[in-house]
Amino acid sequence: MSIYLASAPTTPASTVAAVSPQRDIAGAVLVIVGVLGTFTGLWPVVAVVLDGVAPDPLASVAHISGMLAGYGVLVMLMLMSRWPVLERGIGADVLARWHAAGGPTILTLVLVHASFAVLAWSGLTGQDPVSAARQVLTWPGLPTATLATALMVAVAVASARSARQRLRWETWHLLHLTMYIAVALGFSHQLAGPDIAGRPWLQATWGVLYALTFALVLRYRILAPLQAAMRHRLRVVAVLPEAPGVVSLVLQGRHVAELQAAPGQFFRWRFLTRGSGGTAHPFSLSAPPVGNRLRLTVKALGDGSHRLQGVPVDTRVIAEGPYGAMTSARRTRRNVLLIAGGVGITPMRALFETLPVVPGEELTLLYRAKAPGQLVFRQELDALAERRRARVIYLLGSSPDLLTAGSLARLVPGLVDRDVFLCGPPGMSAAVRRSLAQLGLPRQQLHEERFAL
Amino acid sequence: MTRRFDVIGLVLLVAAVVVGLWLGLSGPDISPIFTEAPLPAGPGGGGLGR
Repeated sequence: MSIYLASAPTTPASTVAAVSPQRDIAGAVLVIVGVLGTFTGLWPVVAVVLDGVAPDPLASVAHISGMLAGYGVLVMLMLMSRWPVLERGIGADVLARWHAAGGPTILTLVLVHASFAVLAWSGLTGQDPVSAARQVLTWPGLPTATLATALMVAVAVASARSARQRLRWETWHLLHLTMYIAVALGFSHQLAGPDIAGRPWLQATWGVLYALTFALVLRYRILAPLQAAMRHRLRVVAVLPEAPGVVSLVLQGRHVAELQAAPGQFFRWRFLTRGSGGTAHPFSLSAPPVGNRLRLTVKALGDGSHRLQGVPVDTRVIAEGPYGAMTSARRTRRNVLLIAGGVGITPMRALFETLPVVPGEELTLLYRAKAPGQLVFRQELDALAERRRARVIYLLGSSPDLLTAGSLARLVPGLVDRDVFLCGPPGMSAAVRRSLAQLGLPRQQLHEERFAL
Repeated sequence: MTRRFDVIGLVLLVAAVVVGLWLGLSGPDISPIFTEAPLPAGPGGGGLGR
């Protein structure tokens, strides 16, 4: 076990961050997305009026659901493009939750679109639905759109909770990547739809929106990691056991300061070892960058994190990021409470070392673990607490009473006037959220990123 | 520390606009579907329910 501390942080003039411009930009992007989405949903109705034809209810449902599905897949791609504006302004965990909720919604829209289109065609031509479906499938763009739908259904089935638990993460991820093919396959069908086709300005806008979204994916999911790999040339220089099943990995590279990694943030790391498949896994920095060194701390929870327990020194690493919005930039109050559970201590440890604190301000860390042997960084945390005149409180055990509103209020005086940074297992985080709500902590003072730990 | 200007991002942005316009206006076959249907063509070229 080692003590890994950066140099003492400088004392700032103000510890409360100004409003983050990244949040403003991300907010503006969301407004644009919302306006475009509203237009997309309303356009089929407007088009019917402009065309001066009598609306058909079945066809109208098909048109609206189809347009929204076509637009929705773009939004899904954008959310997962790793565009820093969204990753830092909104938070990767929130984006992932929106994506997870949006996927089934879009698939439902696609299926509604297909069903109502066939039914409408059946009604118009007097054919039975099966014959109508056969005829529809011969139209331009329909075979590829049908294949795209089949891919979406396959991914949805694989993502269902029961199937997801049986699949290796790498397999599920690979399957998920076929969505890019599905989106591309559906494109020509969208352009050929009567809501868009024949209206050059709309065709052009739709084409540019799709191209821009794919450009975002190309820029930030493919080119950015390659650039970072060439520029920073990170390698593992030390593997330090911290606790049973927990290791810290110290990486060294070049020009690391250019990454502008902030404590509380995470990277998606690709350890280029045999058998890893080059898959990226998200892990937080467990200490602020020191010179050209970065440290992350990994608990063996799955295949990927288990392999990293024995990763050889000198392994090449590609770091994609930094991501995450749980940094000191979120701070709004003078006093701060950090709450960590399990391996959720990693970003909190980095924040505990670096969050600016001036005399008169209080910094407290609550660290929950089931047993003393599961505490990670205990020596470092004690040393930091002494050096920074901060408090660290270890909550040991499994009792649910440890994190009740009453318990938190007793442990941390003046809690509702603090910023609270939270990172822990889902169950613990939910319990803390409930307690904080009972105590009346304003929602904007709670900063967390929810990942399965 | 200031961030360097993202030249690659700018090139991609311009390329995406050009490719998007091409895709939207003259790339794939975008003849409207449903126009082959035995329906009276409306002002917009006809179509499902129009």
